[in-house]
Amino acid sequence: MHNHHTDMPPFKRLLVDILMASIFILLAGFALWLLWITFFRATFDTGLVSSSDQTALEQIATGAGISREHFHNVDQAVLEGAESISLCLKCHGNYPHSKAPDVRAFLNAHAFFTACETCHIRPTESDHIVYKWLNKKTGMELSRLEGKPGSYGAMIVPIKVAEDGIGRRLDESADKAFIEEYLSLRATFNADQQAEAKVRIHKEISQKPIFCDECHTKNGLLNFRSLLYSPVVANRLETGEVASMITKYSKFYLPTMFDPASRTRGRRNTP
Amino acid sequence: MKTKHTARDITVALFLLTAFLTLFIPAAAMAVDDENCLMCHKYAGLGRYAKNEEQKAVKRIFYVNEELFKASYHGKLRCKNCHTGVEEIPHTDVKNVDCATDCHLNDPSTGRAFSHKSIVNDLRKSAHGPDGTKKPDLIKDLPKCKDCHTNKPYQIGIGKELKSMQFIKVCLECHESEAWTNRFYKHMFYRAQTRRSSKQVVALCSKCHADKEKMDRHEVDVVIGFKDTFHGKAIVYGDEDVANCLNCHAPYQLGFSPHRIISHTDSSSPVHPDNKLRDCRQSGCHADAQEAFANKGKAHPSNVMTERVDEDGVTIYQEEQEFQAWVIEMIALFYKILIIAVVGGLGFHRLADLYATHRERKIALRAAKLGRHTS
Repeated sequence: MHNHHTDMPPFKRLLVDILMASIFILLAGFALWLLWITFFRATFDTGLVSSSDQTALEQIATGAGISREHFHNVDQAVLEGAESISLCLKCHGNYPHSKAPDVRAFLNAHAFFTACETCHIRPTESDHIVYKWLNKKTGMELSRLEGKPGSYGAMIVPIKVAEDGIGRRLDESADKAFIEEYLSLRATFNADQQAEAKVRIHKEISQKPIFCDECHTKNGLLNFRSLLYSPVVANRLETGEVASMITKYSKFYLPTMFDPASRTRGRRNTP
Repeated sequence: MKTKHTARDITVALFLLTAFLTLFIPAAAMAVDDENCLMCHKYAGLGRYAKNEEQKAVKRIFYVNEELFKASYHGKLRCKNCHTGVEEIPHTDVKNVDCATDCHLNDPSTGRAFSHKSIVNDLRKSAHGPDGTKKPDLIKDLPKCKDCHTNKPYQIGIGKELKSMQFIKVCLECHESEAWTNRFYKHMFYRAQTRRSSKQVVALCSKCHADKEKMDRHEVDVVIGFKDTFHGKAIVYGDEDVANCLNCHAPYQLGFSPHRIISHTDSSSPVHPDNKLRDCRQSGCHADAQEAFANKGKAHPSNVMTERVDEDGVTIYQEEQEFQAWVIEMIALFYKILIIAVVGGLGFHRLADLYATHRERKIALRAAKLGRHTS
């Protein structure tokens, strides 16, 4: 048989070789598939997440501990909102506020559609900062708001306009390379080195963030009409039910990244 | 007098106009969120991380999608019907929802306030409840309503939805309220379907029963081996005609319920040795089953050892389990070797054949060259 094979014309022999190789690949594939369904195929997804070896921060970053099903049904808006390109959220998680029981959930709701720097960079008098809705994926400015409240596929981003008229997104750190390097190496840093790095990372962040009533008021920091809200909604955000509700919030906590020891420091927002 | 008439006429006209315009307001818009909870809860990001009892970070999402909620089982209820005691903003003293609360809906079958109280009481007395568990000190491990149930929207499917719409017209011949009829029909239709596939049922039960650590705490056999049984394999491949956990442990056909599951050692359990035969024969599954079929061997053997220690400190069932574990391990090992030998042998044969072909071709070419030289 093999001698017969050698007598074939080269083209025919090539065809036979290709056929033989194909059969071999098919059989090998079949064998691998057989092994997979016998020993490796996932059977029943029990939803068990082994998170005992993870720190709380890692659990947040990997999504461990998040229940797969929510009683009131989690929809795409929650999943899309949690997908953020923000460098801040790589450490602070998608729900970064946790200390002030009165407001933490509301602040986290804002984090889905507001860049961290909107509240955590307080403009000085000399700064010229404009706030715009920028598409989360393309970075393009929105011309109108479409979708459910807060779920416009965009974020309110502070833009610092220089004297020459060129704007810089404040949510894009000039120190991005350093931050990413720190994130990959932080496990090897001691406490002092980490503290030093954190000071550099947060150098643009204001120690005293902007509080609710500084935006949700007439002539506040944000001009809701310029941010494409209808006059009715803008009024509601400035003086209506939202504004009247936030006057009840009394306790806020300042970020502790600058001074990790003073974790209990707070501020009374209303006298 | 004339003025009075005019005022009354205007009032009547306005009333009629309002009533007329109301006809054009969609039903969804009429079911207003009159507590205004959605002012905040419509935001997708409303939530936070909290630590659970095991000090693990758990995401708590407070967002409610209005459309999905209105289309759900509880879509007619107000938030505060379940979330009782929520009076202040921010909510600082929110109690856990108690599913045994009387709803502000009347049960059409009795005319009384509807409640899940009887089911909650059943669950309390079952093996999954604080009154029925062998380990009342481990209540935190026991499943709560929400561990198995979510407030799903009625999903009938587009094709069936169209047929439903045609059928609802028949209902409306007698029942005047379209919204009520639509909801009632969807409820009945949806509940007549199987809500969870067998695969989902097994996954749900496995959340706890495949957790060896948890089962050891409760001195219950961990269930690992079900996936290797005929039933388990068929379910993995999507067969809905084989028994899942509930078909044997809580068969509705025999008067049991998932909320009334009890230990297999209880003589009234459907999987107690005295009742197993009836369990296997139910619904025509194994109609001709005999005693040996039902009670010899285990329905879901496990090759994971569980240690049971009785009151005198003696490990029980150890010998039987050791032998079963050894047999299962040997069978698994045999099949592993068989598959590796067959598949590996096949691959080796193909490679060897390719090598032989290549070598013979080279020899033949060399011989041909030699032949040309000698000739």
